[in-house]
Amino acid sequence: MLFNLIKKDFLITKKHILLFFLIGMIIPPVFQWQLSENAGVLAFTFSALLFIDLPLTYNSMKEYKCSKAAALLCAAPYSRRQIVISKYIFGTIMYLACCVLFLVQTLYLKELGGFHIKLAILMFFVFALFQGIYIPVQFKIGYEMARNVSLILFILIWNVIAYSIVYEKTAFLSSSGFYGILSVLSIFILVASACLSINIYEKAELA
Amino acid sequence: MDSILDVRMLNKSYIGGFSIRDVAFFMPEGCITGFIGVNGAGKTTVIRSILGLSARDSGQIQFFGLDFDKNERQIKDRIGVVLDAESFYEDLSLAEMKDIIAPSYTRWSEAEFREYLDRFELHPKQKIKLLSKGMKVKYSLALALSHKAELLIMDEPTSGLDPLIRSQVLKILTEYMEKGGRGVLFSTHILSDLDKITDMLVMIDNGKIVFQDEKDALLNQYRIVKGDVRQLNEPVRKLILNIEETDYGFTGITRQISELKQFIPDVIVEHAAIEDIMLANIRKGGKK
Amino acid sequence: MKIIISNTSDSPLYQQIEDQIKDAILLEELKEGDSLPSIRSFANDLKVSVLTIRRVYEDLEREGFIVCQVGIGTFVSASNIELLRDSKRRLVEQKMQDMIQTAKSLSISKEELNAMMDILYEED
Repeated sequence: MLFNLIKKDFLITKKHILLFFLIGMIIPPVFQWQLSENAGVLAFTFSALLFIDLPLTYNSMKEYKCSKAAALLCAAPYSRRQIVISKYIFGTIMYLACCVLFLVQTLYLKELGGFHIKLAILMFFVFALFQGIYIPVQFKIGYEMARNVSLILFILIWNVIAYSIVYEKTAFLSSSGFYGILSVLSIFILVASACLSINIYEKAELA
Repeated sequence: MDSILDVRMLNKSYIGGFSIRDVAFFMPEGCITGFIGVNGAGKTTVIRSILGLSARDSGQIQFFGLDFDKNERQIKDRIGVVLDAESFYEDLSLAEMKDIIAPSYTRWSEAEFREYLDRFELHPKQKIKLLSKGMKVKYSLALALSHKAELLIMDEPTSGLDPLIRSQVLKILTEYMEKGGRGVLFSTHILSDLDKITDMLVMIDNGKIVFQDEKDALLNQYRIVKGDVRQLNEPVRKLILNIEETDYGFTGITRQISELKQFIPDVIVEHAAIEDIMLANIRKGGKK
Repeated sequence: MKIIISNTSDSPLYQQIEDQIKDAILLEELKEGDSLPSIRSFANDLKVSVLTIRRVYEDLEREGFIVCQVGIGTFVSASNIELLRDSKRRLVEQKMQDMIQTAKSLSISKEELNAMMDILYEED
């Protein structure tokens, strides 16, 4: 049953899925061509951020435009809990897709440097933060206002990342323990966020 | 005779000020129940509350003798629901939307669904946004009728439809009951539909239930009366609701035809339609 | 069986239907064992609510005119033939009373009455 809800999340955004993949394919070469050093890292982080932000916000927009469809789903035996969880899984799948896409590209664009698992975990943390904040917020205050939140998050995060990379404030990233903690923390954030979202959505008035 | 839906003391208020208060009604087994009221009377609020789409402030809701809160999923599996025609993801095709909804029902029948699509001349690959309103309603019905639902709940299914499609929808409801459906609840403000197919009527006005009555008994209670304005004295006026006076005479509706005939033995009497009865029972700006 | 109901009659719909079914049984248009339609199809055909037909069937069953067998159908009942015959007999008796009353008031004797009846009975 959950599977069908996840399928639904993909179906309603399917027009843009192609766009996302195009983005994923274009960014690394462009970055590599424009910036010789740090190209790989910047390319991955930027496209990852796009993959974290765009599918989710676009999905929210589609749900908002067809807000009564959610009412029909809830009148059916789907639970609100399942509807919320499918959003998180949808976002996670998109993030993983981005990683896979980038991995594939590093195989033929050698200048990007290899695929770094540590980078992936770092961006997973970013993903957890973004989704962890955005999803409950859009359930609470609605798509239109949440869109501003997502914009601010995107700009903030990108600035932090770009700044750290360019000014090489990345020394703390070397220790392995750090990544272990980061993974657990990310999962914790996602679970806590899901509980909060479920709580919010279960009380929501449906169209 | 058991009721397949029992609502008691349902209360819900909205911040804007609108509320439904102490709503209580039931759907008898084997009947088509019409839920009537003017726009804004509270029909949609009640339906949303009983389906769990909107959290109620208080009240007990029982379907098939089961408490709704404790058996939500099982109950929803046994109910077919037809909501607004806009309750779909517009970009999807009929088949894609169906693929989202169908798996949640344990008794989904793909064969029946296909039959309905054929009968309604709908094609599974059509995009929902390209359908006319009437086609969307038929599609909703196809979805609602393809999982062996024991009970149908419909919120204004015929509003905005032309008379031909409305009569097709009503025919489908009648068939549904003949094929073993245990009940239909349908809210509407288009009352000519109800004269034909409902068995039981529940009326709501301003958030409160005004009456629940068997349709035939209701029609038997009221009469349209017409006569000379000069015959309208105080006692007579008390017996007639909604008096309209012109230079040529008066028209009104009464529940007390035998008493009225004692005052005006030759008053013209006609039978009242459900619409007349509903208008006689709505509160008009405080005066009734 | 002919059932014609009127919305404007003073008698409620269920009463009209019950009376007409009873008439049909008394006139033997409906015989013992004949089946009556299902509640819903009857309601649809007469354009009345199922609740009305339900009540009609319940009343008729209580009065012994029909019997409802769950899962099988509704049938005109045998148990009340005697009652029906009696009520028919009573109907004729009543008419005879009226006739005798009128005859007496017009000073027609019993022999004349019998003679009139012989002639009229053969006329059929």
